[in-house]
Amino acid sequence: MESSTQVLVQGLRPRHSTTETRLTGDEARRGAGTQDDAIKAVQSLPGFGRGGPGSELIAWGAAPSETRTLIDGVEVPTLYHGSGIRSVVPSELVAGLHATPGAYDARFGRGVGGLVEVETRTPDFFERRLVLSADLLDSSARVSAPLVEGVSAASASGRLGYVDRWLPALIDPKLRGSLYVVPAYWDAEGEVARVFRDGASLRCTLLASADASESSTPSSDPARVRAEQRTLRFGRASANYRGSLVDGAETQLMPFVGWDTTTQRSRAGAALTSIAVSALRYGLRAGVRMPLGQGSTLELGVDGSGISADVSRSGSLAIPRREGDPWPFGSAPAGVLASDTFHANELEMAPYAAAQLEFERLSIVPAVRVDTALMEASRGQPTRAGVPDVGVSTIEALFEPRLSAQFRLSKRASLVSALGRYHQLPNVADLGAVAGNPELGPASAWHFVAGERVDFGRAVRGELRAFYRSVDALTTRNPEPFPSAAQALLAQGRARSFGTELSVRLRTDRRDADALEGFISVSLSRSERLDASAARYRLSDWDSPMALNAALQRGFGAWRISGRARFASGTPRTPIIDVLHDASDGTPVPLFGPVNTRRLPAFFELDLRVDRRFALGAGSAVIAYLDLVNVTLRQNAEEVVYSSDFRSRAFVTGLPPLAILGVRLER
Amino acid sequence: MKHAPWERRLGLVRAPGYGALAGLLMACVPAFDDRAPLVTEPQIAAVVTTPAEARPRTAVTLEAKLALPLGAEAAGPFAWSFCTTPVPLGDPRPIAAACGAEAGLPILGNGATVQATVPSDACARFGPDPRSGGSRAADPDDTGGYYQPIRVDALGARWFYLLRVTCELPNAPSDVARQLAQEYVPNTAPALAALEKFEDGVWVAFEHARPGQTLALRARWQPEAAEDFVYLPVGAHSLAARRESLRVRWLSTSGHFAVDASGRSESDTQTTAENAWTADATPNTVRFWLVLTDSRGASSVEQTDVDVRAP
Repeated sequence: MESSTQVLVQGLRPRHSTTETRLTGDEARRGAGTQDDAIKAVQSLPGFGRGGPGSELIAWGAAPSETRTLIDGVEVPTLYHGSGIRSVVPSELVAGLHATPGAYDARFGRGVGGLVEVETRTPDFFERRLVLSADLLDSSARVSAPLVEGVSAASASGRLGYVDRWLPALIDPKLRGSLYVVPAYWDAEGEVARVFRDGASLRCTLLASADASESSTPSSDPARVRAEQRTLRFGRASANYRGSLVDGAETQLMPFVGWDTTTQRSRAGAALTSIAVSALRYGLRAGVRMPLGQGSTLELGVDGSGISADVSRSGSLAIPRREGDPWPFGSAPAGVLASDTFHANELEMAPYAAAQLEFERLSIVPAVRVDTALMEASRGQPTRAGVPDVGVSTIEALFEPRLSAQFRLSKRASLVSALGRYHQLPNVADLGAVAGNPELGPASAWHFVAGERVDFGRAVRGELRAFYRSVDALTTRNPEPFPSAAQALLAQGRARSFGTELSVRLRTDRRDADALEGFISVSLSRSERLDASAARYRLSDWDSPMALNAALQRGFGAWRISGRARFASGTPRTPIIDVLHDASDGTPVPLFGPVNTRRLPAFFELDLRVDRRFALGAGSAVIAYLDLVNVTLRQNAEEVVYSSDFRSRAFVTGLPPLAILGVRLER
Repeated sequence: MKHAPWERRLGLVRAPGYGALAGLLMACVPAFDDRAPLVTEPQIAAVVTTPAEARPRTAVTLEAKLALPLGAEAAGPFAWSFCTTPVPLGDPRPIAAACGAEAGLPILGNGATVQATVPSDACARFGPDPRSGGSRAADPDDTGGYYQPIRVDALGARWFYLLRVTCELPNAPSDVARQLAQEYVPNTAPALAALEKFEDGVWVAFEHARPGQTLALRARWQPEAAEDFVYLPVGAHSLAARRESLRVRWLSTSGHFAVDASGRSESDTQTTAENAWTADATPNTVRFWLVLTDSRGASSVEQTDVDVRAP
């Protein structure tokens, strides 16, 4: 098995980050409930909540779209394939995870929520490696080989999902069309890496991922025919140069380019809603970190990123659903349609400076980041006959001070704190004059966290922290009955979340293979939203007042056993309090109560895993694992569903007990 | 709550999500007994307007077609009003929640049939006409239509109806708007020709059934009931022609239907909608209402009584 010590460090990383949780790829993968998928471990780390049955990452109560996800420093639209059943990077490629729910350092920005970084392994510079793995969901392979021993190496990997091919075969053919099928997905990665005589290194990587899902509900009633197709494809190409200067300074230069395409087609009766976004993504990250003496450093850098997108949409403005929208599960939007096609650009260039100052008992990192943001839309108003289109362009300078500090009370105890300002540009798909607002501005946030970190001996580390996060200028729907043209959306929403978290990590001093590892984290929090024109805050869709995650794993020679327990308060939902009767088509129309004033029942799941390593000699091994999901057979409520007259309700329940068997070959 | 065996076995989601669970791998969706409820208390089966589509400032007749249990009589009054608040952008419902609470513009008369004049600003509030202050024009439905909501407080409940209004298209190119004004034929209500049952290999008039018998039924209409019309598709710069789809809602005082509605899409030129109906085990008289509605929102209602008796 490849060792994480073979990983080239990605870019410049501070010596500590106040709110970051780090896991090695092996630690993450061996956990129960992940089905051997390392990146799934993020969903149960401190500060991250459970957003539902899929793959949404909820960091300190922030919406999933507010959390940035990066692979080797390059931003990607998602870390998970469609339904969250798999991450977009195979586990054998994951060297480490860095999950930060907020108050992260000045190297990063462009998000008002959390930050999740995935580090991938470099190819082996000395030996050829082969990893094959397969289970019921997909198969993957990774091959790596030195090109010039000790100097350069290359690797390639790929994965193909096939659960969409065999699962429908088990279903009654009459029902296949009405199933919400799992996505068809694949991903591929390639890399060439080289180290230079002066210790510098260069990695050139390619990453591509694709998802597609399709469903339909035929009906003898033309008004009730439903169909939906979704696709998400993205690719990235990047080069990452890292070098050292004579005075001990470290440098990094990392350009990247890529594309994202998303499509959604939803049919309800004769009404078709279609949304397509095709975007070119590009960026540059460069920096230098210089020693200042006595352990202190100064880092100067620039973080640039751009997106050039073509957006085409027609159909209901109710799609996609937005935070706070009350929308009964399974219901279709009214057949009112609008159409818009436009081009949008967003470009950010953010120079930053961060000094890591080390004193006897105090480490302090003052930093500042100045993000100059350009936002453009090709059309400022809806198209009108005889009136030429006029675009809209806005430039804003976004000042982002950051400060983090650690005060060592003793050899084992430290006080930690961090404060920072963050911004996030609007989604380019929201800059349309018909369904959005070309003049939306960036959302801005303050993050604050303070706590204490205590090492109880070498095996146990505990941390207690409190956080506060407030966000202004969030994109929300315009509630006015007669909104102005080009103002379907407004940057007038506000959000705040606050809470406290206790986490304890355990790792015994035993040799690595048999180490007892685990963690427990408990969080109490509240996440609220203030809609445009509203007088009072309400609960957000992502509020989870209590969450508990616990995981434990231990090796016994060739065997390893692990378990994971998760508890979370039910997420808020909007009640239906009455109905109107539609004498046009006989369909009752729900009247909603106050937004998010009811909750789903609490979620609890216990997962177990056992794996066995079979040594084949010459460094080869086969690892077989059995992942048992939801062993307590609990039927967790994931959504409310109503009868057609809205008089009765019940719950859609999540994962049934599952046993997933997989095998992995390593050479 | 029912779970089909395959659902229990595989725990798979049924039906598209359009919501939070889109993309979910495995889950169990409870199934309700959503068969069409019997007519056990007075209800409005449909509102029929004459004409079926009208311009602002024109007179229309509004008639609430009632479905009443056998022997019951409709209890008035019927309070009619035009709604004045459009649906907020992004609200998936066909009518604004405010329409259920506001006073609106009252319509004179308190019977099941009233005369009214379409509000002069119907195309500004619910259509494409410009309003002062540069507000956003309303969006059409997939047939290019705009609708004036009407509320009826009657029979102990709150009902609403969407009256299709004919509006100009001020934001369309002038030649397209002119062509639409010349070629568009206002909607008329479709009419049912017959209700038939399948017996002994042929379709015959549905006049009686045996207790407990399950029958294939069909509602039949004339080919011209599905009208052709031109419209301006959203995002397009020229008119397109299409044909109406038709839908039948099935109501009865006893027995049960296999589905509560069936119909034909616009690409399907057949002139019938099928259903299956099972009679109660005891002899009785059953009253049926069939509501035939076209995709531009006009309806007609046919009522018929059927004897359920032993042969």
